[in-house]
Amino acid sequence: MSSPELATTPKIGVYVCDCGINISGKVDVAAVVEFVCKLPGVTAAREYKFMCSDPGQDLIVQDIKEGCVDRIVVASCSPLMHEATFRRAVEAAGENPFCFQMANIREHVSWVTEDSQEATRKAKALVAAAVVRVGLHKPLERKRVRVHPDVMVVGGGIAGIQAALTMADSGKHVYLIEREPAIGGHMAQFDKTFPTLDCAACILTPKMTQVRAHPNIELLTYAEVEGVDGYVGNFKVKVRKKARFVREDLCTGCNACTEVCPVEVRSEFDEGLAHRKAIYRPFPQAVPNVFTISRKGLPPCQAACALHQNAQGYVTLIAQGKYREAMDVVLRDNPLPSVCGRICTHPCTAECTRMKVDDPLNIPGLKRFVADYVLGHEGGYHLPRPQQERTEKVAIVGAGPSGLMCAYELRQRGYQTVVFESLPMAGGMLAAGIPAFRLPRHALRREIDNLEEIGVRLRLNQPIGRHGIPLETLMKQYDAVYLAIGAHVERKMRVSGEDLPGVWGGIDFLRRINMGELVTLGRRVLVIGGGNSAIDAARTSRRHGAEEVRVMYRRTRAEMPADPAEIEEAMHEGITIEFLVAPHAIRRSPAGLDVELIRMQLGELDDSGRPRPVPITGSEFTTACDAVIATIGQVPDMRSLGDQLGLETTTWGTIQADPMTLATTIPGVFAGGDCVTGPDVVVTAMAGGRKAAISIDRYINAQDMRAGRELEGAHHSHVEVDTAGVLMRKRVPMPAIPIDRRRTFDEVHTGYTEEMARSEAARCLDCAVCCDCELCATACEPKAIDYTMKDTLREVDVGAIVLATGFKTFDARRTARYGYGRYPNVFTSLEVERLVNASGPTGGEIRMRDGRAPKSVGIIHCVGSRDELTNRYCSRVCCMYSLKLAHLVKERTGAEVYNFYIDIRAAGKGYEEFYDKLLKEGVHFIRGRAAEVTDWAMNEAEEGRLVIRAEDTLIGVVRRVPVDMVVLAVGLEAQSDAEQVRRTFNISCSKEGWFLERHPKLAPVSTYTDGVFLAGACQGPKDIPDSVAQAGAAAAEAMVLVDRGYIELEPNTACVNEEACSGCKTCVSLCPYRAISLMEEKKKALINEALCKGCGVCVAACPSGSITQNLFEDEQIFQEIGGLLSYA
Amino acid sequence: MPEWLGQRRITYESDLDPGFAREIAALPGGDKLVGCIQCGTCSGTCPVSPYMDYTPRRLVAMTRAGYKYEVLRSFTIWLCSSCYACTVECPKQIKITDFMYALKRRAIAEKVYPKRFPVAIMAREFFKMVEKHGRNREGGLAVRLFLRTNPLKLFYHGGFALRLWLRGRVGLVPDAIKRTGELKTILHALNHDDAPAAGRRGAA
Amino acid sequence: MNTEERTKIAGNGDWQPRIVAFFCNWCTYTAADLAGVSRMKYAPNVRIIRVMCSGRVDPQFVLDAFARGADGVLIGGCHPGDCHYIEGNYKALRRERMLRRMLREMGIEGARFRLEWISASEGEKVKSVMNDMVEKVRGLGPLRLPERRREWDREMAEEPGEKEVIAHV
Repeated sequence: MSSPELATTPKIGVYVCDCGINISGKVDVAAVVEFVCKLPGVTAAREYKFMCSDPGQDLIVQDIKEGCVDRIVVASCSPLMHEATFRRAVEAAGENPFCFQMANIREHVSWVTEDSQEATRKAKALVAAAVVRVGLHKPLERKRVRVHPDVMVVGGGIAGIQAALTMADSGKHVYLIEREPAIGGHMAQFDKTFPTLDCAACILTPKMTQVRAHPNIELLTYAEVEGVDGYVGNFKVKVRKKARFVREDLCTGCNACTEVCPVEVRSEFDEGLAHRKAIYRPFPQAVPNVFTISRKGLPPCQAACALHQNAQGYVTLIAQGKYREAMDVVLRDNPLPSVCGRICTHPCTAECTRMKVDDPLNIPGLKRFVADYVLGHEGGYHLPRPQQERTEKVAIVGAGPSGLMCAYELRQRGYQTVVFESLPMAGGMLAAGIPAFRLPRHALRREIDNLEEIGVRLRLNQPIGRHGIPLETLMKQYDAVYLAIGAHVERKMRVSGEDLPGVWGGIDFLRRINMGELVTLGRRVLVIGGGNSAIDAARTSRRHGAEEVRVMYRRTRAEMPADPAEIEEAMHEGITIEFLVAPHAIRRSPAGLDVELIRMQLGELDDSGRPRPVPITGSEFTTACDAVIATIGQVPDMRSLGDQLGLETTTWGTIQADPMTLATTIPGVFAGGDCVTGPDVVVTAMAGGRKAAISIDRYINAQDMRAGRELEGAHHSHVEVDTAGVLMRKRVPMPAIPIDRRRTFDEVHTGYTEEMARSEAARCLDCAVCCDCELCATACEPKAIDYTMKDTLREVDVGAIVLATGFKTFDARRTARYGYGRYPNVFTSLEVERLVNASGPTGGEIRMRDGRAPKSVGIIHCVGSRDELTNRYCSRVCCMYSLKLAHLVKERTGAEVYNFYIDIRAAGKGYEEFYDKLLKEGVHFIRGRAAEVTDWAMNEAEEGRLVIRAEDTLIGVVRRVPVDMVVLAVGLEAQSDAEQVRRTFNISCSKEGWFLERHPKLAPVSTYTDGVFLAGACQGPKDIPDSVAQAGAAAAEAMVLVDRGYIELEPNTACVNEEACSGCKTCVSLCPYRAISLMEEKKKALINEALCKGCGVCVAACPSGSITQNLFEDEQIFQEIGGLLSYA
Repeated sequence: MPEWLGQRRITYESDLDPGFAREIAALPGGDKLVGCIQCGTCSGTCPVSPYMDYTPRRLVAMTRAGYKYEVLRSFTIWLCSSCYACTVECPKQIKITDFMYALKRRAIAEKVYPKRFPVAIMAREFFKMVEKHGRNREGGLAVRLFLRTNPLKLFYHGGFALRLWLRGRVGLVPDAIKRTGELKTILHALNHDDAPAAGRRGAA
Repeated sequence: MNTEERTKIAGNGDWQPRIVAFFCNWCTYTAADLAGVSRMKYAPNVRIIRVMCSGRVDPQFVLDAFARGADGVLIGGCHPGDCHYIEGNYKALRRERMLRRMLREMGIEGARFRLEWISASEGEKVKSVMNDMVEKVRGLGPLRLPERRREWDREMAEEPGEKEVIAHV
């Protein structure tokens, strides 16, 4: 839509304002007027003292009405100040308000220029520019846009509450968004408020209740604003409601859950002085009166475990002595706790956050403790029985950890499972490979008994394949088959003499020992290899008669795959390990065996990422021994399976299976564990078993095998914990039998005692806070707890937004000289508020961190305020609250109170009187900014106390005042995410970080973004009465918008001249509001006026110059440039 | 504390010297002096303020008001140990230590300082020596210091001085920088604002 | 007029640099107002034109300003990330980069054309940028493009041979 063309030559009227002496004091206004008269098109030039006043505006109105002017220029203050005023005047006179231009000769000339002549010259130039420009102004119409009737208040402190109530009372639908679980803000933390000493809760609670009960207020707590789109009157706000894990509609606030919750963390509401549980309510009168669970996600230990065992859960319960409950948590994910507690390689401890402080927790040790305890004291543990029974049958080949886990998982889902095992005992590597001094046979036996108890059927001595039931038969008789045959065939060393008697394969050797066979070893044994089997074989030999046991490994200690703790134990038991040495040949000798070895050196990296060992020629040497045990790696016994029916294998000899589903190339046949991965650890094998069970379940029910399986298996946790301030306490060492008694197969580690276990478990940092123990869910009668809740996103339409996001206090650690964080009895004012509060951590008694009541208290004003090094501004409320705290401390404890101040700022109703009251109560006021707080005593009276050193400036001496307790009156600062929040709402922040108001004096609640208003401390530090007043003001301004029902937009939108447009599409991608589109049929650009905000970027970019912006046309600006330069 | 016994202590404006206040404020960094809020942190952190007659804060207030006589005659400026604690902690970031030095130089220039007070004498002799030779010679400085304060101390410390000389800590041979004329030019330019044109005199 | 002659005029106290500034309404213009409200004093040689966004500044405006006799051109916009219209200042930045190269080719020194980010609360920065730029431009001397073009026209007119009509401002 193009604007109407100019009909006649413009008649320009110029009005130059004196602004009292603000302009005329520096600029020669008369000279400017004289200059103006000579400019082309000027039909009237006037000077007046105050153009913005009524008579001033009247000059304009008269001239227009008499017809001598139709374009107006006012040279006065900033258009940001009075453009609207003059436009209104012009409009009132009957002329189009946009036939008007202002020249800023006050803020930009008279106030900033030293020399009068220069100022006058500059003023002339600016006025000339305005005159020349205004001649090209065209009449324009403002667009009207509807305003949505709903409003939003962001922040539920006293300011937000007040604004919400005011607007709701007038009938508006108000969304009140608060990011904490309850409304109330900082005011809820206070005890009494100054100067009336009203109890904060008493005056706040009725308002909070009103909010909850108000039919027009929709309260969204534990929610944050994620994004704001749109513009004034039509905001689209995206709100994220965080998951509470408690159903708001069901929770009755009965508090039964907190009684049983085992996790304690520092309470934010109590400023860290007390603890709260993972499930909590910030304070008893919270609105809404609903609990919330702090649940950060999977803690590092749980995420790192391939089975996702809830380590934090059972460790926390053990610390509390709740062993039965801990066992329940363990058994949720692991049917073999006694086994894993002893031999697991514990990837969880590698991620335990505690290692940032001292040592990681001994998680497997604790799991073993609780399993043993429950077995010994509570009659044992049993696996949960299946909820339902199904008819489908699944065959599992191999009763190792992988097969047993798969059987367990399938059994839980109701399937009938039969496990076939070729050996006479179940357990796979657990029974055949791991020696009894690491895993006692009875422990393993019990686990297998538990599995049989819930219906897992074991068929021992039953090989599958060429020596037993053919695989094909299994596939016909069962609905699915899981192959978990492990890797039990030892690799060959490929040296001569390896088949001589006295040379054993490691796995073979270990199996025989485990089955009770007597193996003659001799006195000297050589073990070849560096994995866990080698170490197990070495330690077993030691217990089987060998005196001298040496382990030969072809790389160095750094590359040894065995568990470091096991290597330590082996060396402790007298086993020597030689590195960089490999066997070359074995020969029979009269004394036994002669083994020829060759030294190695490390070469380049091989496929496994480790350096390849390269023999050093000529370095052969021979050593004598009685037996050689070779454990250099294992492969699955594929040959014994017989006709494999097309089962594919990999180059390493393992079964080919899909990594996500574990399906093999034969449908219905799955494989997992060592036979797929090669030799690996128990927990990985068990994870494979679970994965296969899920796959088999989906396969049998014809479901998608792959969907949603990304988080199976170990991954990294995103939970971060700040470990500052945690005291060091190293791991409780696991007791072990002494060296001299280590020649038998008795278990080496004897396990924690109850005391040791609880002490070790107490070291847990509760990384994810809620540990998923589910005790609260059990205790909750209305069944309000729901762990599956997720964050929900909601889009809300509103017409106006009031920001009331409040403040945070200054971090007193930044002023190191006051000793906050170093001396325990230095407190911040907010901490003392909590102490003084009757529902606080000390029940209203003022107690220091060592429990004593103070006999003297020093209160230091201006901490973090009025200081170039921290915050330059005065925080306004600290003097008054310091007086209040002085009064309360004196009242409660009778202590001597000293206030160290620079100035007492008591400007408010009743404030000076309050100060007088304090003086009368005998509080000592020392005018002097405290220089430091120290515990260095210079005389007897200062011993054991904190000394405040300051100059008493009124008397003129330096004083040292010893006190028991120091209170720092910390200043107010903008919230730490203020920058982010202000970007979301498209407003600005001032230099100090507070939200920027439109004008500090005349528009303190509106911002430069229309439709967004400010209330309370987020705009600047202020006390409660001012916050409430400002909230009312903001509410009023918001209601003005909403009640009027429409908004008039500035008509400085852009439009395309279709004829000139070439369809190049340059402009389309430039518009940040997506207001420009290409008309497909005509191939011309089209601007949606409703979306156009008038930035002008497309206008400047258009190559053919076919876009014009109303009010900022190219020609108008060219003329303005010319006007600036051509006349003065 | 200055002694007084029943004397009238009112100050008339004619007793004060506003020019003094302006001069000190005109020195580099001195413009911040006017922003002092008299909080007393400087005095509070100063390790030697208990020994001063006027605390640093009080001295700033007196300087601002124009108490030239009292300020230049105070012990405070000589007791300042240049520990910079005040400058670091001052909430208005006033360079108080530099202010003390400015007053010291002013006192020396006007030859106003407590007689026989070793600190003042030492400062004066130090400045003179550096101005003249560009170097400080500990031996010469110590001799001058004791001669002007307590000559007997020279004998008292004689043995100590001998040991120092034997260990090479104190030199008897005087030394100076080359081209002391240039140093004089620099100092002259710094001390007099209308120096720029005169400063371009070429290598001296 | 070559650089030597220009510097001579620059040394002469008569000539005052004239700089045209394009300030965006939301940040820079407000900052200049703040400088005024705080009564900060700075060089009077900069004349401000208000636009809604620094992205509105067409390169032609800059060239036109120089062509009409400006000795320097200043564009003021919001800091990156803070533009009231989200990304207008980035577009201004791109244009400034290209314009700078063009101007260099035309013999207009880099210091005459400047893009500054000034936020609404940075009144101090307005003062220091104004003063700094005026000093630099003063040091470079007057640009006097209109006069130079008239001189060139005169020279061309005195040349023998076919004449074309040369349009000039």
